[in-house]
Amino acid sequence: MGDMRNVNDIRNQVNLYFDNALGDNESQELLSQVDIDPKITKIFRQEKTYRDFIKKNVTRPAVSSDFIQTIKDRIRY
Amino acid sequence: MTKNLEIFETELLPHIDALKTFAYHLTYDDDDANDLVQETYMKAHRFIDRYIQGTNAKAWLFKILKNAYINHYRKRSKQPTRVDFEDIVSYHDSDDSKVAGYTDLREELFADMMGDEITIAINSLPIDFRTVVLLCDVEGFTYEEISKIIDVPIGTVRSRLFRARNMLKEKLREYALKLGYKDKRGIDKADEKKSENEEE
Repeated sequence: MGDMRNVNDIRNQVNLYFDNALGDNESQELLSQVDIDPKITKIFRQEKTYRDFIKKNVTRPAVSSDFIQTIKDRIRY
Repeated sequence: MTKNLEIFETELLPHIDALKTFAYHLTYDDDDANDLVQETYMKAHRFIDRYIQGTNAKAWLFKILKNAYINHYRKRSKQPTRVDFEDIVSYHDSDDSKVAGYTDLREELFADMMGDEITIAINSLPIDFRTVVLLCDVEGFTYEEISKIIDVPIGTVRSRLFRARNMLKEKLREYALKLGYKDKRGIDKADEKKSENEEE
């Protein structure tokens, strides 16, 4: 149970890091641990892979130039 | 060009792609998403005097769009007088300590997945979870910004993100398994033990 709680604490810190919710000192401390602790490295890489995958692959429908022009025309007139 | 028009075109319009992505994942429909985005910009232009130049235009626009979406949802509801977005979703919010833990996703799981699985998985989430994932993981808003956009406390934002990510990762794992990904965690150890037993 103690080990699981520690893993969850690490995951919590990693999530806060990727959410830009850690202070500078805490971020630096986490990054230094990523370099030396394999458990933290693994969790960090897993979360980074997930975050990058989401951002890269979520559907982003195109906005046509006609649509943008329609908006511009509506506010002008 | 008037000052307001200049602000509109230089500070507000550049966020149209992000708004369209958000609207699309709320409505599941390209035309509805366009309508929502257009309505957002009309409202933004109408109330542009409330926008402080050089501040967080993106968050301001997302809040307008979120409110426009809720208003449309209320109109379409069978019981419009009873619809309250936060009442519907508030049962999802609970103390993080009651949740078992984080869902683990191995990196190789993503190797064979196409982007469609992400969209399907995100769109299958309940609206309150979908919203926070879109705002945080896709658009990069901070907890504070999300809190202001969707009008809930920061603690609620974090709680929803925790649950939403676990749910999303679970759905992605299910898709990966359907695609033939084999989760060998535990299986390798079971095989080792079986081999040890057979040798004895």
